[in-house]
Amino acid sequence: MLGIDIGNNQINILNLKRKRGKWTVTGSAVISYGKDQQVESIGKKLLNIIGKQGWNKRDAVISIANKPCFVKRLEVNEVHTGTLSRAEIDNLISKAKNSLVASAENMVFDIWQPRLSHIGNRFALIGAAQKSSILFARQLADYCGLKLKSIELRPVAILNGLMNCWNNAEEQNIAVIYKDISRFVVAIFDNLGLVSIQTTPIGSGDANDDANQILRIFNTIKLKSDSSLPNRIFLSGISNTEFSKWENDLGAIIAHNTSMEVTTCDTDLDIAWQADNSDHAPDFAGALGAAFDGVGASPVSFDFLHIKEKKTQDNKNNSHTTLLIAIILLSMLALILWISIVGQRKSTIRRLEKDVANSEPLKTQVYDAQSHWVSCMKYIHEAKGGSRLEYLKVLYEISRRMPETDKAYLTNLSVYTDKNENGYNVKLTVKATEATLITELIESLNKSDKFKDIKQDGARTHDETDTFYPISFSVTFNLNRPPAIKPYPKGAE
Amino acid sequence: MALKKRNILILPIIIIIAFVGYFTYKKCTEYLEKLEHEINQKSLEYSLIKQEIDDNKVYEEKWDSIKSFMNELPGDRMNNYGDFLINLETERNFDLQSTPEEVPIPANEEMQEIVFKLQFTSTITDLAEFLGRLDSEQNKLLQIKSMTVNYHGKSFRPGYSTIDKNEDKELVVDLVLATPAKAVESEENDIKYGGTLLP
Repeated sequence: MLGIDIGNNQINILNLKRKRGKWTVTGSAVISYGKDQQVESIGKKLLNIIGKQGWNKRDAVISIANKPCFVKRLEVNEVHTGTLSRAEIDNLISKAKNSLVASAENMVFDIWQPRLSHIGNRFALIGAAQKSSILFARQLADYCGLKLKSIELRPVAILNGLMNCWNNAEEQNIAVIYKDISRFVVAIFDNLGLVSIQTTPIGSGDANDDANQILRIFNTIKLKSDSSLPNRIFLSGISNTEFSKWENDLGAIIAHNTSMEVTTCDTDLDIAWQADNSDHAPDFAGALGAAFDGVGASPVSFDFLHIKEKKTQDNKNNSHTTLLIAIILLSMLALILWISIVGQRKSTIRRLEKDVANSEPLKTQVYDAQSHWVSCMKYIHEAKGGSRLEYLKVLYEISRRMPETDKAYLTNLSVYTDKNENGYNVKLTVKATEATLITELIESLNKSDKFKDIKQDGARTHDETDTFYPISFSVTFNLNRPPAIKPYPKGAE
Repeated sequence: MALKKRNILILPIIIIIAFVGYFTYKKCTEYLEKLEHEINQKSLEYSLIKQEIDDNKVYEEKWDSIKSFMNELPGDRMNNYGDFLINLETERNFDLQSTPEEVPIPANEEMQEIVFKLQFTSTITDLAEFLGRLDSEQNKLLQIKSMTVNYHGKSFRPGYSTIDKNEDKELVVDLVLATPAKAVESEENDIKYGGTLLP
């Protein structure tokens, strides 16, 4: 795990591994940089070091410089067993923003709660980091191809890097002071854990001035809660030649002015150093703390890579995006379903239209055949299915229905297959011996099932010159025939 | 406050979405119903056509059995039937007068009638035989359209029938016969056959 500690003018890097049950620093390096240097130039140097050291696994945690530092313990409204509610997070961030002297717009907030803490989650630590610092760390990690696990506040990382020094202290109220080139980091613990971390600029270099500044911080704590005042102070700092003298002077002043015990923690006996610059181990407190963050071994940790404030926003955005995608997918599904249903029905309509169109020629052919057949039926013999009228049968029926020749005989017979212009099929003109034969003939013809509408046509005449058949009359009637089949009309649908 | 503002915005959006959704649903349903109706109509139309074809299929077979005359030229058909009638008349020694003519059939543009107007005198026996022959011609497409028989012999006397015993042709018969033929399509045919029956 790479711990990368971005200081004000240099970057400390180390690689932390677990070897034989002990945390081991397998290598370390320092990159100096000016304030105007870009991510690319620093990134190149970092890549160069990573390549030289042969750190293949590029899991890393970066600690970012913070000035001023803001880490405070705030009381939550309700005791939580799980994670904080959205409202509680918003409330805490709002409180933290109000506490900040600097503009909160450029800051990003993160909240940390110990999971199984004896404080019972009644408090939460809230930290703030500058947006520009987070962006710089992200860009650097991207440039170097690092698998960034989290981004930590540098003071918190330093505190974590020194944890083997203060973590086993007998007192519950302690202070951890780390001296950088230009700032102190002052962390204060009470019986409920970390109270706050503050940074303060180093004054003239005089231990008295620095001691006064530190004591002012303690007084502030004392004013807020007397029970949080530390009993022991752990001192540490960068390993330059002036530090030892300053450390001794400061320790003596504080011990003299207060009843606090002062302990220095120059070296960390629990960490194995395989690196060349093991003499400068305190310089790498931030990098070590960052690496501890990465392996989950640090007692306090923020994560400004996955900050709760932004993460929640991301979640909201993600949930909105998911909802939007779901709606789009559902809409597309509905559209596809709709197109499929409509397409199926339109396809059925097209198929039916095609079937109808294909049937038309056959229909025309059949109807033409029917039309032709009906037109020709009257020429076709009945035995062949036609309706041709057989005249001999008509003559035979008339002959059968006529009176005896001694009483009457035909002088004219007209037969029309279709009714003539006067509206009948048959006309008989008869000469008879007496008038009563007219009725007799009509009655006889009426008995035939082949004839109908039998009636006398005009008046009878009496021919005086004909001795035997003086009476002359005409009878008309129609032929009983099956109704004609109507041909299918041409061109009709 | 922000929540209230959001709710105020969401409410009309939900109402608009509900309205648009309902309108879309209604339109989609209407369109689907229209398509269903169209399918039903087309199905019915197709079923009716199929039913009609099935019902009238028999006429196709019937027509196929007689339609060979449509391949004959009208003039040839006129001559053939003319010859047939002449043979029948010759057997009975009729003093035949005939006038053939082509008459269109109003209900059928593809066909016409060839009409033979025959006039002859005959005995009752010959007439009956003649009609019997015509009636029995099952394979010929032939129709007697009309017949007029006039007796112009001597007056009857009871107990004596001139028709039974007299060999004289006392019946004047006007007979109109017709047979179908393919309709004449050009004037050339009319000119070629002239519309008269050869003796």
